[in-house]
Amino acid sequence: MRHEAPRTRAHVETAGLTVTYRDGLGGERAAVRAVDLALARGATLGVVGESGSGKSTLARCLLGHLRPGARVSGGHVRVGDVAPFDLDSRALRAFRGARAAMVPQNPLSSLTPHMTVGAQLGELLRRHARLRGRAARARALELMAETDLPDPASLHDRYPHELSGGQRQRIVIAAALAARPELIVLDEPTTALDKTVESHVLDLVARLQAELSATLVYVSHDLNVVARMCSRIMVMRDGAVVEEGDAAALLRRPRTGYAEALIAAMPRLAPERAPSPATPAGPPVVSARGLRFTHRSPAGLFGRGAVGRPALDGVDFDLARGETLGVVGESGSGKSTLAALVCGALTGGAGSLRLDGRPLAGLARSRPADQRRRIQMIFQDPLASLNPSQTVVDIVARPARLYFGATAAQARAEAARLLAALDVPAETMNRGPRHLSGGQQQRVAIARALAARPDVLLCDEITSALDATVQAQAIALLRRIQSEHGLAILFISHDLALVASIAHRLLVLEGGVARDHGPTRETLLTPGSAYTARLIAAFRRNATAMPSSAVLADENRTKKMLSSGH
Amino acid sequence: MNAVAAMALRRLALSAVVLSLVSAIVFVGTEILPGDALDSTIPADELIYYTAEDLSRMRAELGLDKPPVERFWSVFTGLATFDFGVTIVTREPVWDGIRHPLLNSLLMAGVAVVLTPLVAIGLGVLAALKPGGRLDAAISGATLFGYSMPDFVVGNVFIIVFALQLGLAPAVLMVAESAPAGEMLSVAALPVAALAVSGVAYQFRLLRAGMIEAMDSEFVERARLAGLSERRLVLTHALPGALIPMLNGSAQFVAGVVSGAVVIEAVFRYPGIGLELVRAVAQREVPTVQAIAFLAAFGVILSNLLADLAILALDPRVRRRADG
Repeated sequence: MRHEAPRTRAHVETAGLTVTYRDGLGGERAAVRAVDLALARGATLGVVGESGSGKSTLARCLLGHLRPGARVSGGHVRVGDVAPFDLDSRALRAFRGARAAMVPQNPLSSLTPHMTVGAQLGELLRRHARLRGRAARARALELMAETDLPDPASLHDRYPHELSGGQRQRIVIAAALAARPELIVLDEPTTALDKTVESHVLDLVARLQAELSATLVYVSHDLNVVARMCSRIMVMRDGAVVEEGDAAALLRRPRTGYAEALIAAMPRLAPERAPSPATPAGPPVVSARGLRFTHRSPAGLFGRGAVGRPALDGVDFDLARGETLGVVGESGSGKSTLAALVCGALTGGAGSLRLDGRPLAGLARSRPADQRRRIQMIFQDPLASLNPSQTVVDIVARPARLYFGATAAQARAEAARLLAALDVPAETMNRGPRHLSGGQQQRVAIARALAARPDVLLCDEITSALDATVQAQAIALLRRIQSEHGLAILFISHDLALVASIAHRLLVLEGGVARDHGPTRETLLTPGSAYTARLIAAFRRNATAMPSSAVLADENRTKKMLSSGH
Repeated sequence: MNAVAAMALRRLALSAVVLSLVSAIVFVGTEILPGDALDSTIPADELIYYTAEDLSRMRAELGLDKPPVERFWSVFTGLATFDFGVTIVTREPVWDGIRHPLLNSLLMAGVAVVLTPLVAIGLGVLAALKPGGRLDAAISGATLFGYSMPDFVVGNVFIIVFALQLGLAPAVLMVAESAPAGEMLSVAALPVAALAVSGVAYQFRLLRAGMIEAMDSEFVERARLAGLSERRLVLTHALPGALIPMLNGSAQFVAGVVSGAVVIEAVFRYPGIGLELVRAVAQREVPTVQAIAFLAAFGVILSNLLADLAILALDPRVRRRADG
């Protein structure tokens, strides 16, 4: 029997909660410092902060879970009448899933790859609802329907990799809600999803939370999303609570400089502040006509592999010196294929691609060294793109040795100069890239690209692995570099607001086809296609809670635009 | 399943190439060695009784005077149809000479190959339940030791400990080549264990690494936070994925068993194909050496194919890729 907690008691509570991790040197480092939290049943709390702020550790504590090496060194956690850290393992298992559920960050890696999604729902129903066989299957289909999954009967027996990212996140949510928990903890549940998909998932979570009248704790680095989902916001930094309060009030009048900086760093879709292209436009550095590419499956025993839908289908663009072309679209829209074709990482593309009027060969290795030097690429994951066995300064010195035949000493001096110009601390130069923060790693990757003195910079989602404040710094840096060196930049991102803040012109892709192409401001204000209008609307919807007069004005404009049938 | 059949077919086609190369290399090897089948049948001190004409006449009778390419071709065409021909000197069918040793070795290796992954899985799961714990440390330490031991050391240590000290098994096997399978199995216990040591150690290490990675994964964390039991996490969520690298290791182990059997059989005097191979090489019986090498290569290829099919069954992602 469960005892009903007294009305005055909070439903979810932490008091002085402190969690420490063992560091490699035999010492301990606090990840969560004396956090007090009190939530009434049905309340919604957003926990925001940058990576390393302790927000995810706090979230797992609410389910009595600690990652290896961590321990609760002070304070306590209570959910209803249960203190999860005081439970024995059997009672803890009964508490998890049944009364408190977790929706983890990455739906792509949070489902067991070799089990069908139906089996993964089924095992939870057997565990918590004592349902078996046909009854379990029927309930699993109900849960899937509840999370708006299309055709549950056919999805039930599929493996996770056969579902889209949004579908997988719905499955994870369905699994979390299988036993009707009273507390739902979500840890960045939509970070890996496209904006329009995110918007649907957020609607779904809000609806289910209301239906279950569950208490909701939503962890995210994205203030827009938290503002939309939660009535209260807690800002964390270095494990401690910096500020807590009513969501709208906190966003409008942050009391601390840190919260203010976080709010300021959020990209906002503001067409009137988009940079405008130079007039008249200079001659194009890169010019593409009718770019087409179709992925082929590997050749089988009998001839070539099957040919599917083209990843890129007849795309034209021109990119002038000193100009940024923003490429936006959702996953699978062909953005990265476009970058791969320009930098020569793919073979078998059709259409024409020219650099300063001269044709570019398909593969980078069949291009002259000078053409290779002039087009440089920066990748999404800086760590994966930097050689882990080299020091930072050697990584950046390489292009000078390769393209300009500099001596080792010259190249290193040049690299040190570049790194200093990009504010990479001098003491990190002789370390491996692993020992740098994500923002510093991306600066090193940018420095390596600049060391080749390129004319064209390809940036493929270069800030999606970075926190908002670090992202804002990286964008400012890119703008500075562009004005100093007159670079042409191809800036690819799924984040329309981010692209709009840096791109002079926009190219909107959907399924490999250009839906819109023109100056950023005009494209945002009068989108030429329904797809672009939908994309803009999805961004607006997540940003509505942000009380910025500019945003509100945009909102009205979009509504008018949509209703007038553009 | 169509794609699976296509893959198996592709593999078999590739196997034909590998088997041809193996035959060629073995033939070149026996050709490079000084002397031939005739030299090795005539004791050195009797050579003075033969004139050069006698020797070349006898060579011609045995077919040893033909150019190497022709001799290779006659062996090779036989192999392609699984007709191993007759021995050079005694003119007995090669198959009759290797049949019993082959079956004895298959018995020993078969038991080792089946037992090894089972023991490795058991130990790997136990160790991964608490990585860094006392049990894990003990098993990991023991397997690292076992893995670094050459087969002949393991074999001799087993003889010293189990046969000489404990008297649990005979030190040298006194068993007829054609003894029935039951009797063979009873004397094979020690050789099988000695043969399995390195395989268990290697496969355990692969499985433990896979298990620890899986137990640390986001999907196991999600399942754990959904209230599933540790047992279920280990057996249903972590183990199947962790088996994949281990199965590749198992296929490699089969290749290792072929060479391991030669050593282990020599150490225990187990009447298997390894001893037969050593004898055939010493006597320059090229058809016998060819037949054994061919069968060994065939066994390795087959086991790799079986491992790939098992991986297809375990990993739906690979299965779909093969389909696409």
